[in-house]
Amino acid sequence: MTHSYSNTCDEILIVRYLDGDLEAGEKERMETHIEACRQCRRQVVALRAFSQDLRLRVHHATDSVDFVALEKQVLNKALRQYRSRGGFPRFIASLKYILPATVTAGVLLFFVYSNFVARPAPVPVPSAIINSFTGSMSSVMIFETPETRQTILWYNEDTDVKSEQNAV
Amino acid sequence: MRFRFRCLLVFTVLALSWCSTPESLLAVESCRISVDTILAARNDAVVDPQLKKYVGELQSMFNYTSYRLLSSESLNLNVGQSGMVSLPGDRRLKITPRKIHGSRADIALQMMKQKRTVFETQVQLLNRGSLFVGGPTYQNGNLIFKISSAY
Amino acid sequence: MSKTIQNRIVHDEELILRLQRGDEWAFQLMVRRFRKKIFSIAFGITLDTEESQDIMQEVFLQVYRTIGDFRGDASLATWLHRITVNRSLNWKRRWARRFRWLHVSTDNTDEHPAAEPESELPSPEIRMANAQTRHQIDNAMRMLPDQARTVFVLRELEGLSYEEIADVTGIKLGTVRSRLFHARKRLKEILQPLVEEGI
Repeated sequence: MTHSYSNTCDEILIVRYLDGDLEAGEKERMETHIEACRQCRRQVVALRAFSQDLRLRVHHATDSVDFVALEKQVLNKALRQYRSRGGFPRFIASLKYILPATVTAGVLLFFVYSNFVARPAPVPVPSAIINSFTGSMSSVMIFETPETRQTILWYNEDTDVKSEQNAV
Repeated sequence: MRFRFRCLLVFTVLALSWCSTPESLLAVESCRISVDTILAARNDAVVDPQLKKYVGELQSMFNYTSYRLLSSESLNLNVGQSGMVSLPGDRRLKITPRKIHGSRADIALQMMKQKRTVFETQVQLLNRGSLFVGGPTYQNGNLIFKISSAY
Repeated sequence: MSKTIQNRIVHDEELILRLQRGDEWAFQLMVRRFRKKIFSIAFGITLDTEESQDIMQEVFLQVYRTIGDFRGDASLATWLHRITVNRSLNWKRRWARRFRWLHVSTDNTDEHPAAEPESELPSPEIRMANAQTRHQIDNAMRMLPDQARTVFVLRELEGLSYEEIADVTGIKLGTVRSRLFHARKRLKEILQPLVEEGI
């Protein structure tokens, strides 16, 4: 036993071992330790089993999804987006060539516009991001409007669901 | 003439660099928080002119027909300082800006009814953006609180 | 989108170029190539099938909209992973799901430990067919903090290296290590009853 962790339980090393992050020598010593230490062996087995279960769990969920139908939906939505924007990606690509020519004017416009006029974001971003929420109430919904992404927090402080039904 | 032109040039460059300094570099220590209390109902189709800007968007999410502005209150709050707004139905909203960074302000909100805390939330509110907090039943409709920040 | 997908190998670089030219066929190919991966990551983080399907669609549509901005400083897969992780972490902002989700998690934690002691463990496949086992895994995952769960999912489901995880999540390598460590430590605590039973 040349290294201390060959006969002591080191959580960090166990995690690195599970991640395959140990050097060959370290790995060998860890395996020796695991063989001798019932507690660590149980931990390794339990965590490995959990990872395997998780993979199967996700696999199980994946199996229940109709990916063909989803693909169709995505393609249709993208196509609608494309038509309504008149070929958005191509337009973006063409901007690459126009941009250098207009950059000076753009920068000047940006300074003036961004400092002296109210600035709506060019691409709408959520008006508010809810980082945490705790409360005692019967329900809460957090959503945003489709166009300008105004964040709405809708809560129902009563036990009845009458007010909640007003939200579509 | 040439000197004047140079002065003007230097002034323009200085002004532009001041204008272009990212807000994140300039420490913003306070912000103005406004709370508008709106009564949304379905008994008529009255929409307050001040709310017209938002109603179109709200209509896509709710099925109310009228939006009335009951009250508006504004607070100038420093980071870390708390302010309280009184709301209908014996409600109070405690607002505390925690941090201001870039285009968003971290704000803690605590909604109280009588002496009970209904909820506490931490939000990142966009500068000049609004968070709509709604739900409580009031009179013949529901209250919506529009909480906005500007700094 | 009438063109069918050809069976030849198209590398990501070519795919990006075609996407930037607005090639619908390339878009279809990308969807087909990454749909399961994106769904898996979204599901690992949200543990919600319906929501993960929505996230998957949103990710592809976002890519379609913004492919012109793609500078190639990361691989297409990393970019897609990044968008998926961000979208998945933001999923709770919608409707009532966060509330319901948190409550399911808290309630069940109190009533049923995430991994109930079992004297004998059947094969994972058989156990997975059992709704209770799925429920236990979901609960254990829900008990992990968002950031730790994300890192754990990228590592365990996608097999990403520490460096790749750092790239996708935008955190430092050391933080990846510490989040993974905390995720496993927390899982170890959650799975303790199982460990004590002696498997």
